[in-house]
Amino acid sequence: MSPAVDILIPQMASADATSNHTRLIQELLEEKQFEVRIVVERRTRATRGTIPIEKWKCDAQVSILQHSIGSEVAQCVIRKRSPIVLNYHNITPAEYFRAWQPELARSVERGRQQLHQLAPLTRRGIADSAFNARELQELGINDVVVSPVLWQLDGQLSHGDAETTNKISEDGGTMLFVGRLAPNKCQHDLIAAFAVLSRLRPKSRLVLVGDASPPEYLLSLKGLARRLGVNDRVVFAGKVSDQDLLGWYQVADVLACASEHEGFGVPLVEAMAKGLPVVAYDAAAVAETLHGAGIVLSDKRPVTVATAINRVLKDRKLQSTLRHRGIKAAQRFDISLTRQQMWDALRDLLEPQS
Amino acid sequence: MSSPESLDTKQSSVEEPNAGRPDMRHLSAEIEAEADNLRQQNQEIALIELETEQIWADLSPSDNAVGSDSSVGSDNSFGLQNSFGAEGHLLDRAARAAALNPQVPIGSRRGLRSIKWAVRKLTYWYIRFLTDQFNVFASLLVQHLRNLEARLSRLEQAAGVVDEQPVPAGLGVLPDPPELAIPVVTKVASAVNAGPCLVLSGGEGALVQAIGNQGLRAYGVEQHPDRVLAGLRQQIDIRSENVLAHLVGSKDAEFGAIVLTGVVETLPLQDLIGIVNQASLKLKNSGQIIVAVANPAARSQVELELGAGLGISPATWCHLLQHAGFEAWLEPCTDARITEIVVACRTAQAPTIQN
Repeated sequence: MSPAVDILIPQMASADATSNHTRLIQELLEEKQFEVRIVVERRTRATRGTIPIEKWKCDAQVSILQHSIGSEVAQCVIRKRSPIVLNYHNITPAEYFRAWQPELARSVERGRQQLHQLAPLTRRGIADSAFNARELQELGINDVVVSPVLWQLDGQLSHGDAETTNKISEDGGTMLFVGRLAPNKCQHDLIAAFAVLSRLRPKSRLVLVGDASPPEYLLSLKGLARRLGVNDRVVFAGKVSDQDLLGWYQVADVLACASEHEGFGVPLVEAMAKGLPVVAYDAAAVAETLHGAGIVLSDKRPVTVATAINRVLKDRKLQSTLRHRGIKAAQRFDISLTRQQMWDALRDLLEPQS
Repeated sequence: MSSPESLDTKQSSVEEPNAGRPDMRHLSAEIEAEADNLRQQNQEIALIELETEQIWADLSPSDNAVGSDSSVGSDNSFGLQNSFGAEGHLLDRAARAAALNPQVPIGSRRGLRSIKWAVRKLTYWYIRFLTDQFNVFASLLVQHLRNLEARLSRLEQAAGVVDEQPVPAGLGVLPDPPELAIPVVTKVASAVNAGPCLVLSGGEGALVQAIGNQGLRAYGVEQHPDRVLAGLRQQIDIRSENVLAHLVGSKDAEFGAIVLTGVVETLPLQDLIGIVNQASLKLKNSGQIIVAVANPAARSQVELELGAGLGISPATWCHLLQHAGFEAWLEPCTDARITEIVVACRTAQAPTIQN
């Protein structure tokens, strides 16, 4: 018997949002009694139970392609002209990487080219955000549904602990960012803002959680922190376990995001869910994800970002407002709701009679 | 189907993003205003912002990391290829070439592909380890070269050194215009009514000498060393430099008159527009521009074909200068080659001609 659903993804990796999303779709569909097969390009330790793309026969009732970068799995779909459901997580523009990591720039460029070729093969587009959905519509895909990334962070929602945060000292405060250290995420802007903030609050610190990609960017970030004289108060935490991530969310006082390209922004939702106030630059899908629950800035010059963070750190009432709104906004992405949305997005394709 | 907001909503509507609640928008505006105040009141903090920009430009692989395809253009309007831009492009290519890709191609031949795939798979951890180190090293190297290049470029700009710039488009295609004949020298010198006067290009200096004889301070700039030497032997103030760079490097409102002759006959229109704009800046309020060039239409067939698009006629010069805010007219000249000269006086604050 042919499997009902194939999910195609370049590779399954641990601590990767798209891989987790794929696993959760698999679980969802298996609960609904569908047979699901994950097809990968590169097999890793996290790929148990998957099959390589070379063995893919495109005989499933529905094939879902997870697309966020140029890949062999996408190429295989194009080559076989197989109808797909395109689950689009957006592709970072190559310009951000060209000078830092040409190899990656080529890969994302390829992803964009493939997107154009995939459009005519797409039965339905599933986008993480309205921002991503518009891109698919601009490619001529008419049937597009917005359904956020599925993910489950242990203890994700903190409905009841909105008032438990300790008082922040007058000259301190911890500013946090979670995400790959990458040029499009603009951690250099956060370090610059922190250099200003540290003049206003000498005991404050900045924590950057995330793996470096490309590594050269990390070197430059460290150089920037050193030359601005704040290297002793900038923590490069690297890639951390889920448990440590929760720990960082708990010790932080504000999440700051200067990213210029976010197709969705999982850490924004995680922060809101943990009752952490968010200050973010208004780019791509950021404002949409925050849904009015964070401070969104149209200017991310260091003094502006630092002023916003300082305001949050010193204004208890504002902290409380942001915390409550954040928790409420994050509830929209509760796994029970997003699973339902994903099921709604797929149901008529899997159960045509319904 | 449902959007994130309404699970009940059927079908594939794409929700418009919510940019934020009105009170949050108001707060953001308030914060931005507070930041502006802070910049104005606290110089130290305002300086951090400027300093950070410079430091990051030094640390990132390219000054224009985002959108690096757009060339680093020259600020002057001459359309000269900027050496910084050209080398920057070369460094971009070097950076791309230096990035080692650990994903070795495995081809498409069936049996061989599997073997190569297996070899790649087995050695990937090792190759990746090596390529990562090399890529970091190459990136740092290119980054330092870029910094060096940017600093050299700034130094050259500050020192007015542009000798290493490529020869302006047009030079070399046509033979160098000959020295000005005596009737032209006399005519132009008599038209100059205020100093100091800059002659571009000065040739062997006959015109500079004639203007000097009228009691006006004048000097010429010539880029052919043999001609400069001939002028120097006669103790005429002829300087050896790129004429365009000299004009750009001169102080604003420095000259009473600028004479354009010689090399301008061999330049394309875009450069000529740049010269007019620059000359306009360097002239005093009541300054003159005098142009003494041959009509390109009078060139031999070979020169016409080789020099298509290079140089413009006195009538077109007249039009160009009028367009730049000068009152310009043609004056006849009794020379077989240059039959008329263009005399232009500034009428008002001259507008800049758009390229």
